[in-house]
Amino acid sequence: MNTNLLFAGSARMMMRYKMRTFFMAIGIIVGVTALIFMRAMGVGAEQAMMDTVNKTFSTATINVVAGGGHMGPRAGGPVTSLKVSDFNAIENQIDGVVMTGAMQWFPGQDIRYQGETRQMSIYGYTDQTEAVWLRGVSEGDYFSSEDVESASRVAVIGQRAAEALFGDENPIGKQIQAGSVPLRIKGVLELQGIDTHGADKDDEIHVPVTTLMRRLMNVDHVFAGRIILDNPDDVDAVAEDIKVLMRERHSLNESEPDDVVIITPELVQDIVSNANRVLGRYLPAAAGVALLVAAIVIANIMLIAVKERVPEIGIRKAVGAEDGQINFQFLSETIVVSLTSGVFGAGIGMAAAIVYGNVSDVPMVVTIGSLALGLGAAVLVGIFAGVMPARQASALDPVNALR
Amino acid sequence: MIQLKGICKSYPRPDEGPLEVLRNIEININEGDYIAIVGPSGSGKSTLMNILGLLDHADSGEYLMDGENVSGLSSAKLANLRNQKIGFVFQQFHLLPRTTAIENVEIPLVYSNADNPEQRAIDALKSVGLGDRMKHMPEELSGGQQQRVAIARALVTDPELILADEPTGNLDKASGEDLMALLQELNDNGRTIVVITHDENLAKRAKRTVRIDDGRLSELRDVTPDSGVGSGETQMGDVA
Ligand SMILES: Nc1ncnc2c1ncn2[C@@H]1O[C@H](COP(=O)(O)OP(=O)(O)O)[C@@H](O)[C@H]1O
Ligand SMILES: [Mg+2]
Repeated sequence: MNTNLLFAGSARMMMRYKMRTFFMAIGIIVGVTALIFMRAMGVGAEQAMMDTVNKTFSTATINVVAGGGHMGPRAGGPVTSLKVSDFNAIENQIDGVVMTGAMQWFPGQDIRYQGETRQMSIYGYTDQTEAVWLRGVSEGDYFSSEDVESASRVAVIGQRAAEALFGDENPIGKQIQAGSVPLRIKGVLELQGIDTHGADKDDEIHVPVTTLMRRLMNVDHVFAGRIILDNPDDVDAVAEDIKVLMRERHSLNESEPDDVVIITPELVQDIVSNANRVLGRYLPAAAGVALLVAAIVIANIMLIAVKERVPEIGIRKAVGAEDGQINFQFLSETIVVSLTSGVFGAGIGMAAAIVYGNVSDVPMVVTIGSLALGLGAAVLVGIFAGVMPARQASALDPVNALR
Repeated sequence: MIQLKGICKSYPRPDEGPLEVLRNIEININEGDYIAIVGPSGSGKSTLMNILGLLDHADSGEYLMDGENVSGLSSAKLANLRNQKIGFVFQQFHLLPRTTAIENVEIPLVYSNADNPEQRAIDALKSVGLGDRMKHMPEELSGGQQQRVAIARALVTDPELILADEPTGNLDKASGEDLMALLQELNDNGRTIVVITHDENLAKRAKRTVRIDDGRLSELRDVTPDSGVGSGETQMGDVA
């Protein structure tokens, strides 16, 4: 068989029956465009979240959060066993630990300045925040180790919170009120944006963890803490040591479950990418439906085309086409239309994603994998839609076809 | 080249017995023959032609092509034989619409391994006198020209046998004459031709005439030099 000649003939038929080809193509173009665009959105969101995670959670880091069994503090009621001293013990007793930082959290507090009141979260940290939690100040100073030791009435404030309370005034040195406790602003936090839980990290204040526990919350436990390691390779070993140490310090017997959750970088990345994978799969599924519809449309157009082309099939068989060659021709015509449409759809989807990513602040990332997925889907649609019409065409009886 | 022995073909009918279209057909087609098949409408001429052209199967009987029985051949092998050994010409031309003359003529070459298909198609079109119409669509050609394109398509794989089913049936008188001259020329050049016709003139040009009546074949006339069958003019009967 002379496939060049066959393909040239097929291409001519498609050019000559433009409307038919157009309707076959349009469904795939729309479907693949949507697929590429939506995947760009999904991958963009995942990468953006991963960036945030990596920025705030380096690979040589372990978080310890109060709470048993499950993630978060709410599971099993408030856990009060985690103390600042636990982190000091971790720092002093476990090999490979460079430093630690305990943290307490007091969400949704009214912060007042003169006439203004604003609700925000108060975080209690140690003076090590810049090194441990990777966040420093852009103006003024963070609190010092003396501030932490003496539970000073000082705070540093996020930029959005500062704008809301002070407007254009310089916040440094101003006195704000948290409940009945006056706090003097020492510095303004670096911008950080929205975290993976959706909280605005620029709309919060930090106080020494001791100040938060004793003066504001009246508790002696912390919510969480972070451990910085020498070497990322030690993460699993250190995590195991921490678990043993915490059980020992909290006097848990064998039948009791852990009362802290130990979060390693791997776990965080798994959680984040799982959350995004759901998004990244759900969106393309919608495009998949569009492609399925396209496949049905194409199959129907091809079936009609087979009917219209009965004499052509008869002639081809009369002049020596084998059944398999007719089958091949019709199937390859559908696949060529599908693949070509897929290329257009991928191009349009990629262009749309790039343009949309530039004009909006939604992160859009087009990967080679997404493009391959789009083209693969197009070819699959072609095969799916083409098999039945091609089989019908090849099974035609030439004598009847030519009558 | 071709021997048919005891070929029978019938179609089932719902309320009556089967319709016997061909009954015990016996014929030898030799290289260089020019055979006209005549007979009333519905007598089985096209059915015989389709069997000769390997497009259709007989119910019983033997079909030998170059000594080989074709009844056992696969459909792919039959397709190859049609491609290499047989060229068809139909009353309705059966050209692909919106496809140029040269592209139409190239179609059989899609299914062969011949090299230089374009040159072959050009040569075939030139040989039927359409060297100046190669880029025309069928819609832009007269009936006679369209039938010439169809003949070029039949010739392009250089088959031994041309089967033509009422090739002048849709042509005016002058174009029909031209076409007959073309078939004559092909036969003069050694091509074997079997033509079904209602046209007395066309039948007269043939070296042999056979008649089918109610599915039975009879040799009417044979003017082939040194043929065994009695030659001479025979009445054409009720052939229209
Ligand atoms: N596929 C078929 N099914 C049933 N009857 C058929 C079929 N093909 C042909 N016939 C019948 O067989 C007879 C011969 O047909 P055909 O060979 O086309 O005759 P001709 O070409 O001599 O006019 C006709 O009566 C026709 O109706
Ligand atoms: Mg007929």
